Amino acid sequence: MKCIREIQLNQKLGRKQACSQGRSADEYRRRFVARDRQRLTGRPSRRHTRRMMKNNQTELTGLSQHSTGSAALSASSTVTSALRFGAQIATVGNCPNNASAPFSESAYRGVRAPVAVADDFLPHGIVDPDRFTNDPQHIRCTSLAISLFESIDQMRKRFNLVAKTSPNFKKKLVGMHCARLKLTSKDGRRTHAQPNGHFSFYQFETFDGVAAVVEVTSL
Amino acid sequence: MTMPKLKGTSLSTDLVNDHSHICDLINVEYPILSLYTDGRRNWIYLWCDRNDRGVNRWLIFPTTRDLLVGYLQKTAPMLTLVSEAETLWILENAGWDFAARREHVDSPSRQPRRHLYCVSIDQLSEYLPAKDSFFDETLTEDLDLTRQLVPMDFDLPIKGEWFSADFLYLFKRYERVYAFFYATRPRFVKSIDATLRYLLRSPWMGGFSRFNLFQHLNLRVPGLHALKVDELVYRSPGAIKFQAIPDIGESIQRAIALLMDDYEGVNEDCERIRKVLSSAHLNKVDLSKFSDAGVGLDETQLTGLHADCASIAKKLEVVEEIETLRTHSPNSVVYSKAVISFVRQLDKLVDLRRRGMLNF
Repeated sequence: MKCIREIQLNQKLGRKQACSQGRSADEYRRRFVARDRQRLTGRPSRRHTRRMMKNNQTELTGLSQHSTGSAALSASSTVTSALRFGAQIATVGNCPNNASAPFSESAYRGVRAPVAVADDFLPHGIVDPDRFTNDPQHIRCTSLAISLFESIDQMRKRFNLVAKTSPNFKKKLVGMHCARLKLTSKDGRRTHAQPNGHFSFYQFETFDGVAAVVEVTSL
Repeated sequence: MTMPKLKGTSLSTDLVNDHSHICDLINVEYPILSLYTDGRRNWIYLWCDRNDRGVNRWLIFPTTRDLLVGYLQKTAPMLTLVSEAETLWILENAGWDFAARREHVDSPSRQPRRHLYCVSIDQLSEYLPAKDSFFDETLTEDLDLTRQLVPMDFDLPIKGEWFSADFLYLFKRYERVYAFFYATRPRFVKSIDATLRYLLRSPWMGGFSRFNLFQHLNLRVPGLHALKVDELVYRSPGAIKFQAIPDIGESIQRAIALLMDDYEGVNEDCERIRKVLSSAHLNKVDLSKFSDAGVGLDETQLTGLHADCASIAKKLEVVEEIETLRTHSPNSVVYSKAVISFVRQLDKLVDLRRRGMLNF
């Protein structure tokens, strides 16, 4: 990361270059509006956020290309590139975290219809990224994984508990059916299960959710 | 996938614009049950329905402190809170974001299209929670049930001559300092911790980020623990009786008294911090993205900043709170600026005590 002195110097140089390049008044206005908006709201502009994300990605790519000295770093870069939604995962620091649990015989996921489709295996962070924009890092990371359960009973118990407060929860959100999946370490990485049986699964690029379904039963 | 039609009086969505998200009471894949506040009352948002076009329907209603405490202590089901609510509103909006939930929804053009209307409970049979819809802490990660939940009474002694403007001034200053203490200690609502971290990543280039810190933290205090005036009959001397978290009240009184006792010492520490920041021209630079290595201060200056902040913390007996600021700040410069702004807020209350209006 650049030093603040370097940034200040670059800003000064940039202003001089801009003047010498004869930028239009409109361009200056746009820049000042963005800057003022940032000052007033205390939040970076969308353009600034995009630029930061781009820089992060460049830094990560740079690291993976030049990290000959650090085996651990190159290993994590390799894993990140093998994961599906790798670009989004790369923007979240330290993600996935603690996702090295061994796979068990079966895993269970709620699906909307008796026949599972590819959309059933899309993480929330991909379907609705805006929902997680301002969430802490660990939540943004989890949003890029899909939720699975160790057993159908644990899943049923948890969904029924929520449905007591919100009766449409199963019918309209998580689905009235349960898909049993057979997963191996070739499909992705998973976290350790919580006491309620829930764990997060980060898919590899090669993972085919529909093909991994062994059977679909009613919840 | 359609939603049943509901009839009701249409309301302006401005009514929910001042609702701030406090925490989720049920979050399993989706935020199903959330707690909001308008700065006074607790508002419950219960997800009810969704159609093919991605429009979500929420049942929104205010609830009392007693009922909410009953729900969180598992003595009252959600059904009781719904049936005893004084008003029931339905909010329909595209997606999962309402304006108040997300900080980035800042311009009217980016706000999702919403529809708000008032309904009667007879129309909601399909959406009503079950009789045993009790709170279950395994369905949320936002709450720490080992912390104080039930608000209690405590006094703020006052005396002397008071005008209405003085009360306004006192409440404004007091609630900001109260919110600071609320956010910097482990609390029942864990999500305020993330808000503090987010606010400390503001630009901190001028006065706005300082103002923003206290103002936003105040908005994130749950209605359950907000400063509720329980009793106020004034004949000098007297007291304002608050119903909130008493140990925060004690901490504020102690910090005010200690600042008054060692005003010179604390001011010297603040001046030293200000000198370091102004000599390095860091007062108006956005440092939110930098760690200590990138702020352009040498080791001696950084150590000095930390020593001065620690000295202030020790003098005002707010070591735990200042330590939280340190761990949540992106670098030592933002940390120091936040400490100075806290002292400044406290100083406004010291001024009232100096004028003999606060009686402790």
